[in-house]
Amino acid sequence: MEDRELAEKIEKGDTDAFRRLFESYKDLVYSISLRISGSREEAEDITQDVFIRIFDSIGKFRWEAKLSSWFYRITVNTCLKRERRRRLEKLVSLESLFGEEEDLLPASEEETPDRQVEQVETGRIVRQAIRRLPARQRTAIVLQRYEALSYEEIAQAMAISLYAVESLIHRAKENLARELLPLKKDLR
Amino acid sequence: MKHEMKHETVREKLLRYLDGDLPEKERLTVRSHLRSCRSCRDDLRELEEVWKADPRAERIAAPPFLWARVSAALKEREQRERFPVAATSLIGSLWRPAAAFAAILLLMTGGVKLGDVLTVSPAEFERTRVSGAEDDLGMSYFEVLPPGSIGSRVLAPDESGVRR
Repeated sequence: MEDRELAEKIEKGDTDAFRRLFESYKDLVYSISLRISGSREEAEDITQDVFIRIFDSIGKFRWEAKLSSWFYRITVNTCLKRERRRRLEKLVSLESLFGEEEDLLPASEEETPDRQVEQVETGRIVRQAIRRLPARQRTAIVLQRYEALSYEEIAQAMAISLYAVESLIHRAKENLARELLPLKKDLR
Repeated sequence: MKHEMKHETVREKLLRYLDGDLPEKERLTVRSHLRSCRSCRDDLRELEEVWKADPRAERIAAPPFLWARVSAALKEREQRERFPVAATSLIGSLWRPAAAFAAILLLMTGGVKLGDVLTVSPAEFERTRVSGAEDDLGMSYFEVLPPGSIGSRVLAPDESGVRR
């Protein structure tokens, strides 16, 4: 069933239609939330919030863009709002420091066990470095790297200009390069 | 010094170079530097290894219980909307005065009943009553003093009911 058809049913209160929409987009929302927040608990809360907002507002969606763009926008918005609140409350997630989420990522079956361990470890280092970025740089990098969004799509999702996206990604990558190079040398 | 500074600047741009994010002019500058700088070439190789170790576009699966959470949250909200805050607060605002009124009524009724139990009946009152000062003093609740006692001479009325 097309998203638009589902949306019309959801507007009329059809819970089954909403469930189908949920199943289509839950991984997108959860994945982004987890990569930006660095916490499984936060990601679950964010996902719940996002879908409730979608449920409430789907009737107002204008269909000038794809529904997925809207999902990105609401997810990013919710993540950044919670991030600001967390900063104010000065909460630090230990999960974000020690990279709990890599447990959810399967290792490649083609690699040898040693290679898998090394890759997992290196992957964890990259994800930790990304999580240490400032929130907006982190968001832009997550959307570019893990969601493969174009700069235009990222600009839409973050409600910023194209120039701002370029600036965020460039600064993020410079910060990451500075952080990752010494780490790789230490791993040897 | 100029070479070292340039070296540091190039290192910062290596990730963007890897991803093809650099503007053409900068990309050519970095590429030219890499040709003559083995250290930066080594850095590029190491960075590439690290950067590509993390799977790029792999989505992380949402936990299976999330639908139950979302569904429960919507149902809870629906319940709250059926019994709006205005109605519950009206009930909330009325029950306290009603309870207070009931408590007062109970106390008053209880007090009256208790008073009935403690109060001497008119007949009893007449039997034990002595006139004059003892009534003023509220001594009519005490038993009449035995005749011949000092108290009875002072307090007991004569046949006419007048205190001597």
